Amino acid sequence: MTRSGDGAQSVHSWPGRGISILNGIVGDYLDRRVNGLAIAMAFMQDGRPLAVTAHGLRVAQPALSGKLVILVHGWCCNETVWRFPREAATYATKLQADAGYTPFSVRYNTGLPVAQSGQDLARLLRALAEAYPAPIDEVVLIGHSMGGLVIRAACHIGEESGDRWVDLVKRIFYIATPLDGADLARLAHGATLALSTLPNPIARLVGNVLDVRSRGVKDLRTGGSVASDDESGSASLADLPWLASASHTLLVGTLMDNPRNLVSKTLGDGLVRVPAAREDGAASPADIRVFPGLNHLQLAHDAAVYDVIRRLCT
Amino acid sequence: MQRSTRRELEGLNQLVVDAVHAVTAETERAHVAIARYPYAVLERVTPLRAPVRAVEFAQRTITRAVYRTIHVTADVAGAVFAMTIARYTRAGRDEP
Repeated sequence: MTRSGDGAQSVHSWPGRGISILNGIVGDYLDRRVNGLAIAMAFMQDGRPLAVTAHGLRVAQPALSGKLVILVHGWCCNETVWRFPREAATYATKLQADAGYTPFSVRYNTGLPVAQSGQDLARLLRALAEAYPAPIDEVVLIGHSMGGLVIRAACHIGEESGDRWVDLVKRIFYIATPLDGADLARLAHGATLALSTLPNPIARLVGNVLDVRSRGVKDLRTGGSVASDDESGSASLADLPWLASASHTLLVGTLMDNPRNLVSKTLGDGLVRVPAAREDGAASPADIRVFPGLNHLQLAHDAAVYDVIRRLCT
Repeated sequence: MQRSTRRELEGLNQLVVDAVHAVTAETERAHVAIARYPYAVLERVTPLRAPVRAVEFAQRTITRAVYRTIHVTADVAGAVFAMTIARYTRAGRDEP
């Protein structure tokens, strides 16, 4: 269940960031308990949820264009992750200035399963497409880390439901997105499993505490899944076909300046490794852009990354 | 107080109370399991079995009472904090 957001959480304050971190860690529990700290998915502007109505959109964005760019942040983050250091700009507002896109930024509870966040995002984009007071020509989606998985899930769900907005998506950027799962999440899963099965009360206690982590973070182990019609009832996001109407670009970083360095190959950007080319061609190497020397969070607000996004969008 | 701030404070209160209950329950489980080790060893000595069981029963009763007190204290503190938030909200203007 998702409660409706009716108030602002300061984007610039530590409590606001703390609440986003808390949502990432135990967000599914907060949602289940209808806890006041649970974040409801919404487009945000100046720390307040944006009313997705024709009037609300006109008030928030006086100059509405037919080109939309939508930012979806990653696990334990909120929309502030997109802000460039020492300036208020994001990839979306820069695209507004450089190419006339209308920017939108999503905030959501990153502790919820990726499939549920994908469903919420699909619903939000449907509402936006219906309320938008101008014809929409093009939608660009930019997801950071888990945000990329949520976009994948939303596009799949939107396509299955025959949503109009899906056909408008022309380009999707997956920044530091663990499309095939993240090693750190796999490590946490293995440690929890090992500790829980050890015949020692203290080890089991630690294992049980570790197991409290949210469904959202557990989904990062495999890259998430969505409901399907097959026997298992769910399909891995990694195995789903890519949205045919859009072009897909993976932007990944490496901790060291040399991407062939052992540290870069093993740790990638610290959390997500540079994906290997898949044999089925799901993500061809041509779609992958590597940014040496950029860590996981830096990729969400870096001039070189923006340069690639701008060149591909204009 | 802003409505969102009040909602967040109430949420934080609920979270802390739930966390105290969860951690206390897990700790009690581990405590009981660890405390069981010496009793399990001593119980094998037949003449000691009856007194060991009596001591273990007493120890378990006291342990359960201590953990129960923590649960009740958490509930009471949470309720007092919730009432304080409600009273403070009524006293001042609740902004949207």
